[in-house]
Amino acid sequence: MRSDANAPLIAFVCYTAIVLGLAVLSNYAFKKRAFVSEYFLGSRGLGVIALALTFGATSASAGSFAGFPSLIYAHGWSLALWIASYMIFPLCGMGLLGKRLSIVSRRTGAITLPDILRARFESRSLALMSTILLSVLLCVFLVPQFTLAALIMQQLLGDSPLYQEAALWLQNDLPNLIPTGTGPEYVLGLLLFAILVVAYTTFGGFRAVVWTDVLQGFVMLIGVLLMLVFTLVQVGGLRNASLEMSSMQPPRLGTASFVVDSPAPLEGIRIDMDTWFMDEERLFRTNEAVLIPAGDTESAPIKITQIVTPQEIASITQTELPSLPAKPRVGQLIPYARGDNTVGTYMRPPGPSPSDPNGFLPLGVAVSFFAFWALAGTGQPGNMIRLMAFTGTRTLRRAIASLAVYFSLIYFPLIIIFCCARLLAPGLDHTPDRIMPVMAYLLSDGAGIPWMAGILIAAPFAAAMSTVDSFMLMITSSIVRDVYQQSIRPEATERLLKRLSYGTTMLVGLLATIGALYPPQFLQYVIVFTGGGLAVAFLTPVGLGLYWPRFNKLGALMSMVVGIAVYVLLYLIGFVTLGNASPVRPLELDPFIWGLLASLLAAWLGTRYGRSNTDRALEAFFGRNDHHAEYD
Amino acid sequence: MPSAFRRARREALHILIAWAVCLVWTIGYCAISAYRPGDVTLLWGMPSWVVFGIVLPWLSATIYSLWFALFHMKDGEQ
Repeated sequence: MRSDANAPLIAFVCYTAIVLGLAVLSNYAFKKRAFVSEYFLGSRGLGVIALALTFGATSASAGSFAGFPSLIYAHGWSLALWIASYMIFPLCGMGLLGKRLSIVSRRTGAITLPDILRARFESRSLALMSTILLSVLLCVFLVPQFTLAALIMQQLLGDSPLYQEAALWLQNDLPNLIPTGTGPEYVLGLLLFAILVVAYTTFGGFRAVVWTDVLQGFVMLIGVLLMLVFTLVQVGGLRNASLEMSSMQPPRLGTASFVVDSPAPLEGIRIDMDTWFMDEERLFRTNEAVLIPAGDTESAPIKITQIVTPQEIASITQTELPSLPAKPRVGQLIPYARGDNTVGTYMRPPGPSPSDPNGFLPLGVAVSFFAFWALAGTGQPGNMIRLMAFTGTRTLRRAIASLAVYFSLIYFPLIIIFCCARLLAPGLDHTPDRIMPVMAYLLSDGAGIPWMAGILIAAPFAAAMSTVDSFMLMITSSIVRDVYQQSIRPEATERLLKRLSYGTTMLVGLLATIGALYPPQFLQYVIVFTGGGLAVAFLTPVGLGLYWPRFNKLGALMSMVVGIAVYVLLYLIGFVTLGNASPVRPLELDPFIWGLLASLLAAWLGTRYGRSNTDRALEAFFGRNDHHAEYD
Repeated sequence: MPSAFRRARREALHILIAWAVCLVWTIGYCAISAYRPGDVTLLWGMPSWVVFGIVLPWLSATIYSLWFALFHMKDGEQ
């Protein structure tokens, strides 16, 4: 039982106040500057800390603090290999394109990515196509991010009495706001998150987004380091944790309903989530709350986890288990497809998997992820935009160094913390997404500092916000700058552009909120699909556009179209043949790698057969001498 | 004296080579050591394949990134 259920709510309120304060300050700052450049690019004034942390915080989306911990908890040390390319990501992500992007965006006055492509290839059609691709993929990306954020809010604040009261009010007074399949707690979390993010992003623009990213970056770092210390103390050191982990076998997942002999009273019968119980000498943990409604004698089936490792069973049953107000009726228990009855499976790749007989991380998939994190991260438009916004190369160099240290302090400790979580919070395998808030409460209570939970769990919602705000602003810049100002009304006044930008940002937030009211299935797949798709579409045209003077308009168009076509095709084939959202992976390699290779090949072919670039575009990008030398 | 563009391109090439070295070290070592059946030995409280296949390359990559960014990479136009 938590000792201070309101701690996260208090932390959230303080956090909200600071974030809104930053937005007000930012709004005041851009009143004195040219609106478009300030609102979308912060007048290219990012310093070292701002650049490093806005880059880091935008890259570390909600997935880093919700999805990644749950994967570590579920699959163990394999995740060290899965995430390994973050060792080189700061250098690749910022160093590969940073210097060139910064220089040419200043020379050409580019504010958005389509601006860069337009200036390089002198092609409105290419710029328009990139704007459409960017806007569509980012809009698709926003919905699962809002959904994840709402789930995080629900998990973090759900136990607070005030939050529960507000959810009850929503259910009673505004029932039409709650679609079937969701609950009032989810909708309340979504609304709180959406209102806050839309407010500060709309009002404060790029500068507010960067300032909040800096705040969020520090919150994430402090949260992770505190968790690491508390975790190592509570498990008795890493060696002890690893030794215990090496004797673990994967649990069995199943469902159970609970029954009583006589009808339940008016208030129903409730059993809390995460309750331990024995049935026929087997040890289980509920992964959902049980409710037998008034007048009924049986609950709906809920998810349960059976612990099978003898040492774990002995340790858990040392203390007396609670007596339950209802009898369990355990349904079918499903063994893991890989790792069942095997000790040490959490200690090495491919790691256990409930569904895949090849395990979580076969070697080919490990290679794919090594390429994916470093290269797809480099190709993310959200990251590229930040590389157009800093003060000079000296800032970039120091930011790369800072980010290299920052990521080392975030990602590797997360692996240690959530491997140890298997010891501290066993039996959550059927709902591992909850492991982050569960650990935050457990560690704070264990350390005797319950209010610390508020700080620890600020990290996930900080991560969610810092990604969403950047993407909303990019969609707005695509629509206002690339479509309206460049193609429809070049003479639009600053005042009009300002109003249009505010309205578009709010509209984008509203649409994403509506989309998240009906949460899509396969959240993680949607995020991976859109993230990979953005990189496949933009990495080759932008990268070659910056470094290869011969690269021409046809090459850029073909690389974008062919790359994204191959990528989508592999997902479609997977959807049709496998019947789920998994893509087909020829040679176990991710569609991102095939899309990128196809994109590079198409770029070469297009450049070979397309028309040469004009001197004007080349001089802006490469200088007079260099582009002639390349052609000669 | 190479131009700013050529210097930037050379630096980008160095970064790609660094990425490839990390890939070969990490995936190569883990393929040989971590995927092989047998007992997992511990070093510094972690499986030894994590120390040699992840921690050491991670440390090396971080040190290389610091050196590259702070001492090797040249300032371009401001």
